[in-house]
Amino acid sequence: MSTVQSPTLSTADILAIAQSDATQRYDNLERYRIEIFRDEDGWHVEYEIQQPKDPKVRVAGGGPHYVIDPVDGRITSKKYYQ
Amino acid sequence: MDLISARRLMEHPTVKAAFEAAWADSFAEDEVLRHEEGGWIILENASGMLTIRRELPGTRNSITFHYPDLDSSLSALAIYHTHPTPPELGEIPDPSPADRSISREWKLTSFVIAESAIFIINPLGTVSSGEVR
Repeated sequence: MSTVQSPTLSTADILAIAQSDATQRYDNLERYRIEIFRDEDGWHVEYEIQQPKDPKVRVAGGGPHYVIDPVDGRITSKKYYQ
Repeated sequence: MDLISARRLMEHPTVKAAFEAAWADSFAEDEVLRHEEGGWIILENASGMLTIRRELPGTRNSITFHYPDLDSSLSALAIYHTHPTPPELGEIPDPSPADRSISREWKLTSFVIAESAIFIINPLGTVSSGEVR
């Protein structure tokens, strides 16, 4: 007997879900580096401040971190860092 | 700087005044004007006197630090900045991963001033539980 697996969303879909929420909370998302990885609890999408090349200049700050369900695209956890 | 020294530094009148000024200038209660403020705590080595160097105002969720060019009579002790967005708006007051990595990279103590607590990040990037403001 075969089992039927639920289709999972693509990484593009996951990014779009995160981006849709992030743009409502953060002004300029171009300043962020986006990390996306799959963990046991779902897709993690984490926006981290992109640091200047000059090692004597650093930006303190934060972006949103999400955990997103791989099947239905629901955001199961979000943290808005500042 | 260890945690006890950092807590003692927080109680210094110059530092307390700097933290209060930064918080006031952050307009935490104004949805439009709210932004991060911060600066440097500088030690005059010979006298032991502390001075403050402010950075330019930041955005709602970031502030840029420029490592100061200091002569040998001065030492950079710590940096500080505010997290003015209240938790009830969904943003968490705790230091961000970038906040912690700056302390690690520059081997500096950092203070993060939030609405009801001041977090201390040690030079290893570890955050102490928030000190009540």
